[in-house]
Amino acid sequence: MSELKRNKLLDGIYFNCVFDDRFKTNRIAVNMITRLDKKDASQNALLSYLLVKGYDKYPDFAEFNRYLDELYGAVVYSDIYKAGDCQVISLGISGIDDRFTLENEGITKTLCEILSKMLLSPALEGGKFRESEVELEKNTLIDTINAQINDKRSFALNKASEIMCESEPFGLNECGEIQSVKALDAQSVTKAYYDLLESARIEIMFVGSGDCKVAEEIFKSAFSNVKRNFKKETLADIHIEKGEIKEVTERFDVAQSKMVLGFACENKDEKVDFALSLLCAVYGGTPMSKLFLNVREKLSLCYYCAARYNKTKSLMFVDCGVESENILKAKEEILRQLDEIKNGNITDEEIKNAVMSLENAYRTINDSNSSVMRYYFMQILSDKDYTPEQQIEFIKNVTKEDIVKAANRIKLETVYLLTGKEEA
Amino acid sequence: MDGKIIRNEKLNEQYYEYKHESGLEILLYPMKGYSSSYALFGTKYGSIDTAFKTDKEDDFVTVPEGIAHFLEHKLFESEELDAFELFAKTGASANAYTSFEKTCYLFSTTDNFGESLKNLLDFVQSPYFTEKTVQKEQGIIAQEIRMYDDSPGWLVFFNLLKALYVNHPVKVDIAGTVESIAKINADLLYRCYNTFYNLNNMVLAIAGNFKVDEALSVIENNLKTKEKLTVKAKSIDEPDDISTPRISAALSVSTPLFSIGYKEKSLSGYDMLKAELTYEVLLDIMFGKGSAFYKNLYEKGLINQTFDFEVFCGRDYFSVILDGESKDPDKVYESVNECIAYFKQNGVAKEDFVRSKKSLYGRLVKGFNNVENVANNLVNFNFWGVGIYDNIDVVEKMELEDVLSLLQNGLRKEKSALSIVFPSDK
Repeated sequence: MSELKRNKLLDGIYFNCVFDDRFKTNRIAVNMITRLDKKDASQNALLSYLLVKGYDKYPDFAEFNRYLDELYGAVVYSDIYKAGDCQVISLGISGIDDRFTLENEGITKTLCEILSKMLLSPALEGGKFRESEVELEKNTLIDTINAQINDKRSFALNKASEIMCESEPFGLNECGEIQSVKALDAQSVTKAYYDLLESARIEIMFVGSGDCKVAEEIFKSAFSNVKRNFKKETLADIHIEKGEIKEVTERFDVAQSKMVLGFACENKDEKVDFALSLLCAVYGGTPMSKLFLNVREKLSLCYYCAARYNKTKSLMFVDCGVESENILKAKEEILRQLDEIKNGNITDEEIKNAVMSLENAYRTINDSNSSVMRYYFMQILSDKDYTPEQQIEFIKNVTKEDIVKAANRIKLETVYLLTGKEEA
Repeated sequence: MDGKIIRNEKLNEQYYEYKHESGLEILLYPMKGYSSSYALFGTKYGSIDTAFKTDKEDDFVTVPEGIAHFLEHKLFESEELDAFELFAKTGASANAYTSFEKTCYLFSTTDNFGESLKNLLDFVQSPYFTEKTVQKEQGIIAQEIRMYDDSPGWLVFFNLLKALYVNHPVKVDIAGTVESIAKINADLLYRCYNTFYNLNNMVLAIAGNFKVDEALSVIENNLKTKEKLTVKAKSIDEPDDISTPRISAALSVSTPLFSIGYKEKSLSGYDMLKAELTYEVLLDIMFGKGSAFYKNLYEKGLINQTFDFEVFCGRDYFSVILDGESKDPDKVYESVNECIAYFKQNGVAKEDFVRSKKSLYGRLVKGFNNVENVANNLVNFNFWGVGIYDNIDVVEKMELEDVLSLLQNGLRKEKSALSIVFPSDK
């Protein structure tokens, strides 16, 4: 796998490059990382919606998109998500490499310039974002927050994190609350924009076959006049354990119930992180896992029943879709299978299978520029610089005893149930 | 086996195409420097194959809806080791999917390629169904169906197909219904298996990190050649007219979802590919993010960034679909029709055509970026009777007149329908 090259541009601003000429495209992103905060979350989210629509030279969204079409359908995107207790505001562009243009014209340099301008030369009017644009994108953001209910599986998972981490940033909605979106205006968003540029940690990522040096120079000069007042934040605080189980049921007009169990893993040790990752794979991460084989195949209660581990907060979530009359049965079996692990009832073969499955997943990261970018970005955020191969070695060193020990510190904290309306 | 090399100069890439004596088509696309290999073993058998016979049979049989998908689930089981157990030993990640026209079994692996390929060939060629295992699967698939019952995107899409198509089985949910899958038994599964899983009806495609010689030797040694069969689908009597112009349902959603469809003339082979890509250019000009339509409706708050469009085509069906969320779907539908009428009258500007074509070319090149995409396209294109580089060929040769001809003859308002999913919780 190609290696990561990392250079500092300014205080808290880095340019990161993974050169790889297998890819026919270049993918470039500017990630701004800030502590997730109830007050700022929605204005940062709104900013990402505004910045992706153009820049001073292309204030008109349609015209901007026609320009991108000319560049062989280059795509700009913005994204808002949570990483630990932080909010990541990501602005990106991707397009085909110069080698594949029809007349061998160079476009990669232009893509870097466009991205830097989207971030640093937004379309302002009288020094502020345009009022009409702000109002329009407020509505879009409100639509997005409202539409989170449309996907019941991810809605239920988010709800469980919210309940479990009610007093922690991780429990907040990454897009903020509708009420606070409504309160925003051009003035407040413009102020938020300058605050973010001044204080956010900024990680620029470039993955592809283009010239990294040229790209780096563009961002270096673009950022040269940016005023900075940077203080590094921690990615995630340790989860505050409740010491009790909180159960919440919500009713919607649905055919199938969704159940999410949230577990605190009580871990501050990196070595235990690898044990927990492997535990999760054995428990509910593959089609050979205990949850798949028992809850699905043996009892045929669910189509999906899976476990996932959130490393940044050391939390584990199990989620499933189940018929309402089978909720208790499924819950009992999910917990029974965890007890099996706690009691050491894991075969060497189960462990070996899970290790190989994780090995395969780590090695496959290499094959797409978006997964390479995501992987290294998460490494950078966590202040680590492991290659996927190194992670595989750590996983291989985990013993059955490590898994059992880690399992015995896991505590159920939250049961969230999204279920149908009771018959009248 | 005799093979041929198929090359594309612009991409500077090539792949190998072989035809096995059993009739199996083999497509091998090694990709230098990649870590993983991705293999797909597919049969030309999807949810729309509900009435069929082989060239050796006299009568057509009609089977319950959702049986192709059910069979896909069941093939993972065997008398000895289940497919997932086999793959767990090699570390490969295995899966399968059923669509309207095909069922594909796949694995992705970075190690033990040969053994994983042998496993794939083995389990797909070794059916094992009993009444007991069929019954167990009914519970699991019922939960899969119930999951889709709550998916507004799924509902709005299938309702649109129900509005557009009168008889074509494309309007039926791929997984069937809880009632239809209850009618499935082991005998029916064997009947479908023996018809469609004949190697003469199948394709094997591999892309990524592997050696062609190793793949060919594993394939030669692990194919169970049987008497060649040719499948005949019962012809579908689908009228040119739609079923109903408007269909709506309610679900727990925030904003109404809509899906607008235009029923077009069905095509096949290169003609279908050409029409698909030409429609993509036309749709991009009329409704893309660079269009006056998009800007206008977005600024009025009638569409948001979920707005999208696609060409949906296959065996005996072809339609153009625009979808998204809107507080007023009827108004969006009206605006779409007005926009089409405007273009029918005024035509398309040459510069818009050139720009959209360039953008489409860029998107097609991106499609060759990853192993999974390449393997899937090898199968899709093969089942359509074209090659994987034909899309680039079509775009290079596309003329403004092609776009204008579709515009004049297609996108007819009287052959269109609107499907809406309204919020039920309010």
